[in-house]
Amino acid sequence: MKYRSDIVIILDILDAIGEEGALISHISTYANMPNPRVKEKLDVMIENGLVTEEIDKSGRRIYRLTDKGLETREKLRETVYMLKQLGLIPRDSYKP
Amino acid sequence: MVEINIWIITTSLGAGAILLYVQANVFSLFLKSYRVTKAQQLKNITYAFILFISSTLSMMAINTYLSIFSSGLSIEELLLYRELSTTIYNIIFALGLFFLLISSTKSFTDTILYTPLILMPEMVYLQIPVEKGLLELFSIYGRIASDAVIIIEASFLLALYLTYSEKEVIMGKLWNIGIILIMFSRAIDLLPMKPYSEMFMIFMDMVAFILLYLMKKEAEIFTREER
Repeated sequence: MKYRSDIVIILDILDAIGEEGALISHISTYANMPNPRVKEKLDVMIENGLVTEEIDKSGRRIYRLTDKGLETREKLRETVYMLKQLGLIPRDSYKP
Repeated sequence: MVEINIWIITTSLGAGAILLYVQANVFSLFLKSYRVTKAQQLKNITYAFILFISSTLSMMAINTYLSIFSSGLSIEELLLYRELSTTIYNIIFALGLFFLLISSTKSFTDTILYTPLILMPEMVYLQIPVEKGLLELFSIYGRIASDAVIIIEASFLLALYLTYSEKEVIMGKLWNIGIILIMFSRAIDLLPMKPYSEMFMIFMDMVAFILLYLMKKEAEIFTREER
């Protein structure tokens, strides 16, 4: 598997959650990462106030973006776009 | 001669102010992203911009001092301090480029990027003539060494751009132009064209960072359109 920078990994997770929220299995598939690693990243994001964790009626754990998370996603998209333009990350490392 | 120096000091201050604004603006984007992600790559880019901003501030601080106290200085002192300000600017700028380079994820850079740092002191020490004063030595040979290092670093950045960036997007090409301008200005500075080459160098850096600023603006529009 190709090396992905941390910024791209975080952005992939934020994109996977989206406006609707997502289950860890969906995030894991979208970000192409194993569940435990995704969980690790999500815990840090919850700690930083980017993501919240909710339990729905059927007892499933759903992750949602906070306002700060949405704003961060925006800034990270700009940053990744810039880094791709500068040639500091591979052009195929992030596809929105 | 005094008039030329005063003119260069004043225009350097003006160009420095624009450079500072543009660098701070681009830096803010990387800093915001670093605060939430704590990514190593962004950490290095943040360091790079702190160094770019420091280089501009140091150049502006010395030039401000010179513009205030120029009447009390001899022509030799004025010339030396002005050259010194450009040398310090150039050395910190070279370090900034180094951090920008190591922020790349490309593996080959890990091994060859140490070359400029090794080269810099060697180039200085190899050329030290003992009869000159330390400050004079620093301003002349430190400058030659830092010019050469910047040319090497910029050519690595150019290679990264050619390998990685999106060829079909026009804005990426602006960075390409910016790097070439930085390289070209350092090559001119190696020729005996001082003090004009100093002015040219600062103006070319200003243009290169304005191009980077335009790229940031384009990134804002691009992500907004995507929503």
